[in-house]
Amino acid sequence: MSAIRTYLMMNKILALSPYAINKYKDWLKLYNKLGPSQGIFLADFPRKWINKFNLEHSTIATDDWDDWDEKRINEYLAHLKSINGFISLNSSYQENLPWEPNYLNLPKDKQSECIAIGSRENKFNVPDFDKFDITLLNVSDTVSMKFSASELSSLLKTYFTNTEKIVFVDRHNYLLNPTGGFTEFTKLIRQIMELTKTKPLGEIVIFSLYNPREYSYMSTTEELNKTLEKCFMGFRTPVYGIKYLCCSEAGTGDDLHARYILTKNVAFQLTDSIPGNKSSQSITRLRDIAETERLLKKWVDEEHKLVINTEATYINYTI
Amino acid sequence: MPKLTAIELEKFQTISKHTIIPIRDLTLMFGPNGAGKSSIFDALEIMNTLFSDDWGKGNEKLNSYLDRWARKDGSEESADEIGFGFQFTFEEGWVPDGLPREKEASLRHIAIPSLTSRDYIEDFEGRNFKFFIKFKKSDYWGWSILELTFQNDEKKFLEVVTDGKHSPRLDIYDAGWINLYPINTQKDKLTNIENDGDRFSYHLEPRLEDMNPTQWLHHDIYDHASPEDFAALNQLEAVAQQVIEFFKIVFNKHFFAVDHKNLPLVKASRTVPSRDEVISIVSGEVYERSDGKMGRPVNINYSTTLLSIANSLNKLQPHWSYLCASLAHAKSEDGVAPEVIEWDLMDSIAKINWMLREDLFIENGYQLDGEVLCLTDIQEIADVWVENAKHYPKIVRLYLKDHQQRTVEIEDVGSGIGYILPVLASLSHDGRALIQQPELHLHPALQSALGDSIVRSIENYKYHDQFCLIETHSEHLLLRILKLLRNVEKRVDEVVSPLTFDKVAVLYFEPKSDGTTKVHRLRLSPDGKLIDRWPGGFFNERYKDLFDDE
Repeated sequence: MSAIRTYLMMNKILALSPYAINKYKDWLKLYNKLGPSQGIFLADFPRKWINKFNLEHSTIATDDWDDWDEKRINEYLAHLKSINGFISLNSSYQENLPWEPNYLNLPKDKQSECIAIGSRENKFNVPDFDKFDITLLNVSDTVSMKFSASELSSLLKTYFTNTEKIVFVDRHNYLLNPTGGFTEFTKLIRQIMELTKTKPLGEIVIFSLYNPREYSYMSTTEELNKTLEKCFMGFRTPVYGIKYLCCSEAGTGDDLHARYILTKNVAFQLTDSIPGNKSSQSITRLRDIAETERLLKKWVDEEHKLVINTEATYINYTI
Repeated sequence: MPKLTAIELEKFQTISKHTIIPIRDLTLMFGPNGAGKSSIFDALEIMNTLFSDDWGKGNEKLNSYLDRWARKDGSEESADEIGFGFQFTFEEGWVPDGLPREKEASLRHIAIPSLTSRDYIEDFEGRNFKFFIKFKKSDYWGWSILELTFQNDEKKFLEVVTDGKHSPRLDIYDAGWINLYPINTQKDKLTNIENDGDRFSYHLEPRLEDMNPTQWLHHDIYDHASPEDFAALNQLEAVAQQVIEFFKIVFNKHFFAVDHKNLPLVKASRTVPSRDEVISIVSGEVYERSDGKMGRPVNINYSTTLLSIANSLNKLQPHWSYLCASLAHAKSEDGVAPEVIEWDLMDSIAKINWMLREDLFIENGYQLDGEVLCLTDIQEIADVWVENAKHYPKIVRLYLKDHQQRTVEIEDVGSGIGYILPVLASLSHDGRALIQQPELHLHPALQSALGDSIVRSIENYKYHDQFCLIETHSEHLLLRILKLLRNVEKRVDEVVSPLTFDKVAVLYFEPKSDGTTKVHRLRLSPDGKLIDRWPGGFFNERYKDLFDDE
């Protein structure tokens, strides 16, 4: 399975003309499919898409929605922005041309990452809402395969590059293997740092089981610091660094049995560690809002009850 | 210059666990009503009193603050406790200057000679210092010290330690710049004072009723003590008080003006004075005479008549009085002052008018102005006729001018400007800005524009140790400040020191179900985005109201 194909299975990017929605039923068809937890990002194309959208809708006929509906749409879009639902395509946009030729001028690889909806009856053969198959916006929640570090980072690339914080939860998030080499997990973190070096990522937090007998680098903060430096010194860390927490579960009521990767807004659950011992692996994006919020609160907001035995943060970020 | 970096609270109002609250050039505090945001201001208020020379008769002022703000957890077994303190950092190259002479004298054994001669400078430069004090109340003794720490990030200087059974002990450490020489020479003869190497330790009388502002740490040794013990105790108490004095000077000089009787806080409960209330009488200022000597100011209390007028007029809230004094100062300048366009060189009134004109009331063109009348007695005019207006007390009445230069009363132009002027006064002076709800009664667009004014004042701080502490509910204000952080590159050449993400602390006070408060610091990225999640969703109320019909 190619990396690109895999990537397309965990999320899609919707490139939407600011003119595309001019009936409220279009909006009703669309809005509950958007958002990182649904697997659909809205392309910020052109930049400041919301401003453009608002500007366009002050000039085009929108006979079936009223001011209240417009307020709801604006509020929804602001909310979507606040949960990182927009993603930049990092491409130029010519204001003197309609949206559709701008879209068609995108490099092919960028176009292939997107699903496009143009304005109604546009002359550029970009599907409009009447011709658009809304089922294209259905995104699979689960991908099953045995991942390498690069495959996993490719699979979740859009999520990693569009969040301020990433958290890894697993008993076996070890940095070094018993022979002292980098684990597949460490390779994944290095891949993520490479991917996000120009992105807004501010912190990576890693929860692992405290196991100093087998992993001596966990025994002291100094050792842990040295190991983090050894693993990641060649990469620019996020501004608040990589925080590594060695935890004990006994008697706390919390544990690290379930494996998660969490961004600021989305929770993914894995069936095995990275890389793990099982012959298969699967990763699932959780859709349930309440369960996602519970996990984000526990792990991203760090409101767990685990005992932290050793903790260190490696930062080499300079302004 | 020492710079405030954190406030520490424990069992202080709704704050239960020991909490370190970071303070930056700009600190913004958010959270629901009753979550305990104001406890930061109350902590500064109590420290302002603790480090002053006025604890009230029988220490009642301090006592009442402790009674009011100690956390009551309701259980019968646990005594009331309250802890508070602060941290600060000495920037490199700082030497104390301009300290009042008597204060320098009291510090002769400790930091001043060290800093001036740069001996022991490694104990100061780049070091983070910490002061923390915790009181406990018993039915018998009232409030007493349970814990006290003076230290930097390397060394302890002074510490009160207790095992819970015996009376507490005070440990004083020989830090080089703390002069323990006389005691060191006698240490073999001491029986009641413990000594191990660089530490001396004695039992302490920690009750508040036995303390006073100039002597906090009395000994508790009366039996079997030798004359050498008593001599050494007196010296140790003096040294301990000198260490306290050192922190006292740092706190008073660098975080609050020594003469502040009350915290210079712009309160949420502020009101707009009526046209008859915006009148104040201010004393004359010290000025430089033509012969180079300093001119004698005429204070309002030199005349019974002026004092009587002052008693009937000066009932304004502190920031209005400050505005009157600033206007009197501005109008006492000789000749027409050249127009200053550099923000950091402007006087307070010019800064306020800049903010009104450029940020807030652009269309109306409101400018703060007023009538300033010089006061003197007729005999003085006949005798000496000193022309310098700075010499005299003045009566000041504030008003506004609109863009057509018409005089407008502050109470007549809608409440917004009346509520914002104290905020601008706080932002404009070269001290600390402590503000509750600056957005009070402001339209959302003006709340956003106020963000411009706040950032402008911070980016042009005259002194390195200035800071701005704001309690707010305004999403608009926060969003504008975050936007300005993102656009910081555009202002690099226009301001003294651009506001970057590391100079801003966004704090969220989250009330917990057990009645306590948890303080979160929501960290920012270099491009002004929140790294951490906003508890309960980022100002989610509008979204919920529009989408949740249940």
